[in-house]
Formats: sequence, C-alpha cells, structure tokens
Amino acid sequence: MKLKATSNDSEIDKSKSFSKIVRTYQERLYWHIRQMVLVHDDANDVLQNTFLKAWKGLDNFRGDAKISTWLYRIATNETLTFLAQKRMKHTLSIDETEDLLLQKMQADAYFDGDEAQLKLQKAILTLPEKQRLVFNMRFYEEMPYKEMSKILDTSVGALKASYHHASKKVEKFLKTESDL
Amino acid sequence: MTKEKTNIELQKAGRKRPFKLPENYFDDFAVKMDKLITDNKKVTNTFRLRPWMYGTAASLIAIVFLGQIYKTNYKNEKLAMEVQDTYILSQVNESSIIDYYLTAENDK
Repeated sequence: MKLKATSNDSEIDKSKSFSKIVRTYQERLYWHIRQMVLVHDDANDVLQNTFLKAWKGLDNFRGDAKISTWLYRIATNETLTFLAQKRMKHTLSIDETEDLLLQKMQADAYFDGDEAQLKLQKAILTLPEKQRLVFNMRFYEEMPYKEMSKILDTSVGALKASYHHASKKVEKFLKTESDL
Repeated sequence: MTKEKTNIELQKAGRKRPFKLPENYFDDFAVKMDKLITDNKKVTNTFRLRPWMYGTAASLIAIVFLGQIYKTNYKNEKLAMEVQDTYILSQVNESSIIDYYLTAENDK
C-alpha cells in the first residue's frame, strides 16, 4: 500500500486515508512492538504513540518509501525509546531491565505461554536489544531480510550475521536449560 | 546431534507467541485512534495562525518600531540643543555674561 499525501488533500480525506492505514497495519505493528515490550498495556501505549507520530508526520511522508516500511521505522523507534525511558526511570542496567520485563510479562493477564514458550522468551531476553529486534522480526514475523534492511537501515549481510548469532545464543540457552 | 536436540527445543516452543489480547482489541483500537486523530486535529486547528493574525502582528511590530524611531530622534534633538548651549556659553567670558544680565535688569 502506497500513500502520497499532498497538501491539497482535504482534512476529511486525510483522516479517512489514515483510518484505513490504522486498520491495515495495526495488527502487524502491534505484534512487532509487543514482542519487544512483552506487556499488553505497554504495547498498546507504544502502538498509539506510533500512529500519532505517523499522523503528525503524514505531510512529510515521501511517497518513495513503502508506507509499511515507514510505519515499521516509527514503531521500532518508539519501542526502543520506550525501553530506554523505562531503564532511565527505574535507573536499571540492561540485565535488570530484562529481569523486570520478564517479571512483568509473567504477571501480565494477557500472557498465555506454556513452559517451553516461557523458556524461549527468557532465552530471547538474554540477547542485546538490537539483536532481539532482528531475531523477533525474522523468527516470529518471518520478515524477508530485504525488508528488514530498509526498516533497520542495516545491510542484509549484517542482518543475516546478527540473526545467525542470535539463533546460536538462543539454542545454547535452551540446551543448557533442558540439560538442567 | 546437539544441533538436532536444540532444534527440537526450538520447535517445541514454536513460533506461536505466548500472548493473548483483550476481546475485540483491534476493532476498539481503530475506533479509539479515529477519535484521537479527530481530537488532535481540533487542537491543531485551535492554535493555527489565521491570515488576519499575521496582519495584526505586522501592524503591532510597525507601531513599536516607529515609536522607537520617534523616541530616539527626540532624544538626539534634545542632546543636540544641550550641546549647542554649552558651546555658546563656552565662547562667552564670565564678565560679558554678568554685563548682559545687569543691562537686562537696567532695561526693565
């Protein structure tokens, strides 16, 4: 879906177009965010901010990029900003933030995982933030590297390497856990 | 063998996300976003500068600017007069001034 907003667009047409955009992309973006922040309420807030930012920046959107790429970029930035703010607010280290995320995820009324899934989430949380993002986009969203490259502004080669390392770490973590 | 085992572990967990959603979440979210955008538009409209505001602002700036020019000119004029008086007095000696005042008194 491509959208080229012009200054001549009437406000009503613009709102209608944007409403369609929300309905088309909300689900994909929600899962992209939720997989990083883990808790439903947080994902809801970040998704809302993502669309508000997109709405405010709609006039500046250049039609040369796919709208999905543009939205994913906003969602990713909003998610990383949210996690950084969370760290700053609680003055936590990265490890402590991951522990907090895990605790909050397990306490969340909308967590519905079995033991194996919980173990996998723990393994994913051991990854550095950017690597976690790459792993989630590839493993859960099954996104092609080419698209990921445009969203994350990173070369396909670097993304492949990052995913490979991430998978190895996750596999190692799962193996260690199952051996215990 | 190890790799097979870990793959089994990953497969066991699967690609299914361990998360649930509130009922009708996406329908409700889309409606909420529509409302937020409408409210956001209203706020933006409230603060939007109208063409007449530009005219008023320009007039006010012009009035303040002209006032400043007038004030500066008046000050300069006053200063010039004071300088002129001081110069004239410096050119006349004291006895001439006394003579002038005494003559003026006698003329009355």
